[in-house]
Amino acid sequence: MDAARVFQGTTKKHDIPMDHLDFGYIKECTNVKHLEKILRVLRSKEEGFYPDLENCCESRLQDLNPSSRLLRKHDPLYSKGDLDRTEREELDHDLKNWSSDMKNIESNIGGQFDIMDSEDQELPPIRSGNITLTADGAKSSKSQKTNPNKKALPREYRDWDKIDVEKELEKVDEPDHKVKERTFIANREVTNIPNKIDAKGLSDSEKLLKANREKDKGNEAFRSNDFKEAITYYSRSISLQPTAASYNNRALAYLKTSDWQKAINDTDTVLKLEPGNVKALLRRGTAYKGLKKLQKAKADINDVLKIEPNNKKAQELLEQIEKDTQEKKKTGRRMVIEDVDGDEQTENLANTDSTPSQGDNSGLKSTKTDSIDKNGEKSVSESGDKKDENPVRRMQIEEVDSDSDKDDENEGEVLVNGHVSEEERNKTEISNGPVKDEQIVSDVGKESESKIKVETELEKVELVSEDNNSKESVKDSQSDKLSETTKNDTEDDRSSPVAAEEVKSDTESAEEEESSEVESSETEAVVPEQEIKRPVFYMKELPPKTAVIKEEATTLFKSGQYGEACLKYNKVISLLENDESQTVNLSLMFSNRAACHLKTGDLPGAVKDCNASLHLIPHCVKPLLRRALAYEHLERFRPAYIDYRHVLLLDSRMDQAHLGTKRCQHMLSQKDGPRWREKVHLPKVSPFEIPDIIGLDGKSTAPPVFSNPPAGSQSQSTCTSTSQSKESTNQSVSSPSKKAEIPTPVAVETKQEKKSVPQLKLTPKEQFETFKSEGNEYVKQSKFKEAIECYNKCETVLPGQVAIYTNRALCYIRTNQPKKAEEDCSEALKLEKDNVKALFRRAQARKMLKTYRDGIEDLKHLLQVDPRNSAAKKEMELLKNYWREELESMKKNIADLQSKKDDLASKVSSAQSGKQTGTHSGTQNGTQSAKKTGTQSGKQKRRMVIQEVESEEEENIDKGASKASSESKAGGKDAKPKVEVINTETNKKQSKSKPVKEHKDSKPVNSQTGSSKKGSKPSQKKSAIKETSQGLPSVPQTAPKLDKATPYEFISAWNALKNSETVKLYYDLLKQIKPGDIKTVISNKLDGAMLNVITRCVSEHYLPNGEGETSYELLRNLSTVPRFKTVSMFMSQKEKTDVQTVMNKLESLPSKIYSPEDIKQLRKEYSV
Amino acid sequence: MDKPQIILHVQKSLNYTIFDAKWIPCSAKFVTLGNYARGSGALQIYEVSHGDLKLIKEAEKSKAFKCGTFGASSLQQRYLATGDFDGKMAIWNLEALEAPVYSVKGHKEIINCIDGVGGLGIGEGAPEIVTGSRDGSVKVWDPRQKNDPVATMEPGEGETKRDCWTVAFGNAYTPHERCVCAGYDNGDIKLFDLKTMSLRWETNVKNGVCDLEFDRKDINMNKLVATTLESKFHVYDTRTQHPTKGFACLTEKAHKSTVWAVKHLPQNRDIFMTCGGNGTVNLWKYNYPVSRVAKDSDEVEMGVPGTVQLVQNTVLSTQPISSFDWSPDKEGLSVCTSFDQMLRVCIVTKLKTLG
Repeated sequence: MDAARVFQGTTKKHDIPMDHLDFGYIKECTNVKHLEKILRVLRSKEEGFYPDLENCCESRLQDLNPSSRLLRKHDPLYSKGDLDRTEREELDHDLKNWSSDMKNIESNIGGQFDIMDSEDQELPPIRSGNITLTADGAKSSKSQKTNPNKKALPREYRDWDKIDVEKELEKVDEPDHKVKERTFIANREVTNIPNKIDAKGLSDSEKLLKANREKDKGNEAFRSNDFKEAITYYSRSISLQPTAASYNNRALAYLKTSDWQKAINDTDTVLKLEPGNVKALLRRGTAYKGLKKLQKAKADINDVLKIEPNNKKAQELLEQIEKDTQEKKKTGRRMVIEDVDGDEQTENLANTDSTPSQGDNSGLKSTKTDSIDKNGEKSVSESGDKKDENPVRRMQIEEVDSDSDKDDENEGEVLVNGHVSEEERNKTEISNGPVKDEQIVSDVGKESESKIKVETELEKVELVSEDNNSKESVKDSQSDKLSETTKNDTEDDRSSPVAAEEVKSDTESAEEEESSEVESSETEAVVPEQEIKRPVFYMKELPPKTAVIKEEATTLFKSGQYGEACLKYNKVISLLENDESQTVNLSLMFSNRAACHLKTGDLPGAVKDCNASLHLIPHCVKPLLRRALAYEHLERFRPAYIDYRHVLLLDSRMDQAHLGTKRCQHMLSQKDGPRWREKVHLPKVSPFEIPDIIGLDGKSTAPPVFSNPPAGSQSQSTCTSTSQSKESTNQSVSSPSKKAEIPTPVAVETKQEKKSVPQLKLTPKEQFETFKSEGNEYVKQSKFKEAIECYNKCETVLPGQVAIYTNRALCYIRTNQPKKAEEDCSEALKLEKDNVKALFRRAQARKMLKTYRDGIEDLKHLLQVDPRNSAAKKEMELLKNYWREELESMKKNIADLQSKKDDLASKVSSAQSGKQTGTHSGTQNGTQSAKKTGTQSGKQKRRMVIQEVESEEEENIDKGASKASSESKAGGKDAKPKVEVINTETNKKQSKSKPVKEHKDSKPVNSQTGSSKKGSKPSQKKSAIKETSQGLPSVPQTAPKLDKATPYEFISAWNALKNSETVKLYYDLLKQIKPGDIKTVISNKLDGAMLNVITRCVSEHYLPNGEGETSYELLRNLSTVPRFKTVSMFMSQKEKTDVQTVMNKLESLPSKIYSPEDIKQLRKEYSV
Repeated sequence: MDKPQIILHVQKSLNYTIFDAKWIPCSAKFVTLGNYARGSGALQIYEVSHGDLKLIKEAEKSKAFKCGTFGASSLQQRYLATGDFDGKMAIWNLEALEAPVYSVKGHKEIINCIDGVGGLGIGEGAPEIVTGSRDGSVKVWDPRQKNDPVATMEPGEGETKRDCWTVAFGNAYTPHERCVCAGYDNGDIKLFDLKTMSLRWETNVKNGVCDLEFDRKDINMNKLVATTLESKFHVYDTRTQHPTKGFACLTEKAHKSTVWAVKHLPQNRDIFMTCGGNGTVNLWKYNYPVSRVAKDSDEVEMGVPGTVQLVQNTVLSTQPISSFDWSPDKEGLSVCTSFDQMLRVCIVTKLKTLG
């Protein structure tokens, strides 16, 4: 009873029933939380002190939840004395070694102080900016200030009616909100960290240090399953200090990403450095297994087991490999049985290789054809299509058999399937004719590029299947080769008939279009009819056994049973796998299986297959495209983007790839900001260009689809390089020159390979290239007119190149011909809808033309394509301001007009403003200054000035302007024509250049406008010249402002003006300095050029501005500058006469400050 | 005894309050910074040699030092940047301590915290120093620019100024990317993106933020640990930022008192030490979840927090541990200071076993 009562209550703290504080209960309790509560109660000792029970509870908790916080106990701090002796000694020894090591390292490091001290590598510029924290977030101080003073800007009457001002104003601000809504998202899939570290200027110990650190980073990334990142960091470590460990680790990371070949390469390196490295062997074994090279894998694993017989991993791996090999053997046997009997083993193998492919071909085709003869003809038609739409075509044929993702396939394939009869074929060919005519030259180039690949491939094939050739009789040399290859193709690849036909179609198309291309006629001559039929013949002989499975797979795929199709493909692949000669088909099968995976949503599988496929045959469009798709679905946009671009490089007409690139671009720019391209850049270059060249060397095999008789490809191959380069420039307009360089070696190569190449063809493209690079060079040197000429030549040689138009547009903008620039940009945009540069430049041009709204439209478009383009954003802001001002002014003018309608006097003024609007003149600054000068008369004059300019400009631009000027006349008539005429006459001369300058400089030059009447002609002219040859309207060059008149500031400001072509800016600069200070400011930096510039300033600016006294002061002080004596001694004759004239002028000016005596003295100083 | 142990190598009692200790990179030496009872600043350099601490150099300056870093200095120079009680940021050449090589009165009040990046081969881009002060502002300094900060993050006019207790650099994996994270006495944590000069993320952990550290400064931000006044710390997975939810966070109780500091092992970013107000140090290991990213209902990626495992929990002192620093060159070697004016060099053994 008593006991029962004791256990009835609950504890004070956690309301635990008393009877839970019991050995029996605790031992049975499985509720961790409850146990923790009990333990807490027990530890609090509120219910009494039960050390045993506490221990029991703890041990129970330990069993259930060893990580429970209640079990955490403080450990005392151990000293070394608490350690075992051995451990202690080890530790001591370790530390001792370390401190002595450190001393060594330290002394090493101390040795080379100066390197870093002096100018540090290329560090980013010093940043500047502030963030202001507010209650509801933060504001960056970089934020744009909105212009507080709205200026009136005139417009034409008619326009006022058209535009709803309020609405427009709202519209202007719209895009802003959109930008703001975008949120920041950290990207997991990073980061194009460069794979290499620039080790310049690092000592060995530093390199080691850094290499270790990078390796650590790699290890960490590996542990958190960021294998890509890990690979990057290992690579960086290797670039600093190649160690076996880094290679070994990277190999493991490659294994994880199924990058077998790279893993093998790395392990090979390790084994070279450390033969017998167990891990490396094991990893290589795994990689070989991944590649299904089971024999090699087995060898490696056996090596491991020799060294470490008990290595569990190795044992497991070996078991797996054994299993695989057995399966393989089985399938292998089946192959033999299925295949042609009576043949020798070796031949059998070769035949099995060929059968599937051939079977594929016939398989697909036979669905619609009865005889093989027809089959052949069909392939002709196919290739006919191929001719017409080369890029797409290539893919089609490659995969015609198995490809069933029709949805995204383009009409080309449909056509292929649609060709049932010869007649139809002819039809399509004819209908395709015109398309061909329009084909851009670069396409031809690409085609030929593929042909080169094919050729090398063919040569290879030739070697491989020489024994197979026994069946075939050999004819004369050229046709012999042809026949051989075609024959081989028929045996080895299903696509060879296509190849043969391609030649024919080549000739056909050549006939059709009668293009100027010489080689096509050559091809025509070369291709005899025999060749075309030959493949057909051989296809008959080889019964495709493997192909049956493949055909099944294809039909399954087409009927939408992707999973089963996938299984079939598995079979085919396992059949093909051990055959070295079957790389092409294997690659194809992988690619097809990838398609299945894509359909079934097994994206990683698809990527894997594509990788395998691409590994066998790099630069294959289809698997690349599929991988891109898979990556995109996996939201790994960067690799997807890279793949898309890769596809585009191979084949710029892939709509899918274009769309994909756009999507990825969008995503990437959202993720990485405007500079995302920088991140993508690196991986982009290497896969495109470098392997491409390797491919040409013949190492990598190209899909035989493009196979073409050598004769045909010979001539065309030469075009490849140039057209290729063009293509690349097309695609990455940003770095045309860089990319253009790369193909050249290819050209050389191909030339060397085939000496019989007709050189004729090359010339236009070569010319094009040279002109273009010349043009670019001129642009760099700011010789825009010459550049334009070059680009003109380019255009005549090869029209339709986007880069040319955008570049020329730039030149036009620079030379102040916005109309032409706009035309060029429009042309470029016709060719490439989303060309960022073209859009931007058109916006600029339109800004100059004052069609702000159109400009804004362009920029909006641009920002859609590339939302992070900061330059565009700035430009947008600028344009919007202009546009806003224009609208505001319009509003004002409306009000003005209405209020003053009846008043006669106001009529005059409104007439003037009307005219103003009519001429469209209002550059912002012009009107601004107009506003600022207070008096009515001043206003008038200035207004007229502006108007004048406009028409001047328009005249320059010629016809395009006629509209505007007519408008202006209309506007003027409406108001008061007389005033216009008068003013025009009076002000014509003065106004000519000045306002142009204002407009150009786009800065409020109040003082100058104020004195515009005074302003001397020569200086104005000069400035006008300067403006036209230089500087965009948005990038004015002004004299730098000096905060303090220190020598440093002055000299740096002076040097900053080096590029300006007039002395006006120097004059502005000099004006900021008191003549008395000139000595201190120039100090000992005076040189001949400076002296010359100063005298010119005096003669061109000071004197005409009536600042004779200041000029005297200036000259006098100048003569006291150190080094003046020396410098003046070396004045040229011309300079001396300059000085002389200045002196003369000074003398003639009356002054209080100096007397003729002084001038004489000065002459002496200047030794004139 | 397979797990790591914290072993005291050598300790030394000093006659001033030690606020910070930092290993000099590529050496067996470290610097201590502190405050003499008379209010002046102490700067001493010790070397670990033959199982003892040898005082190599010392200097006394007019104002007490609060914090220091080598993070923005090159390996050759190894200049120490310090912040003092007067709001002055100075850079010292340890070879010539008479006068600083760079000095600026950057803040109106005490500089609580300092961090550097871009030096020592850690972090791409320009060397920069960030300081946080009681005056509420966080300023970024570039040794190439005298007198003025290159970036300032401060409350606007009329806003309450929070005491900034800690700052940390991170995300410096390319020359242009860079972030500064700042913790305030009211529990605010703000992450500033220096590239875009914007506030990238902010949160409030309800308790004053004593220390912040990224697991590594020179990688794409991976993890951020924030320790707080009342015995908790938070680990943020900064790889994945959800537009509304921000970073995934894991919170853990530790020390039963203020968690004064957190320091990640330079050789392994997933191991870190926290220092408690009760004189304990805790060694933690972060374990990643199976998948670090999940998708919310709108298919937007968000991070998934992992778990932390307490590896070692050791009492060093009865007074708060004010600072702790891992040797960048020797895995496991560390120096720590406590408010009982003791300097301890400890060794954490078997860190490799944590892998």
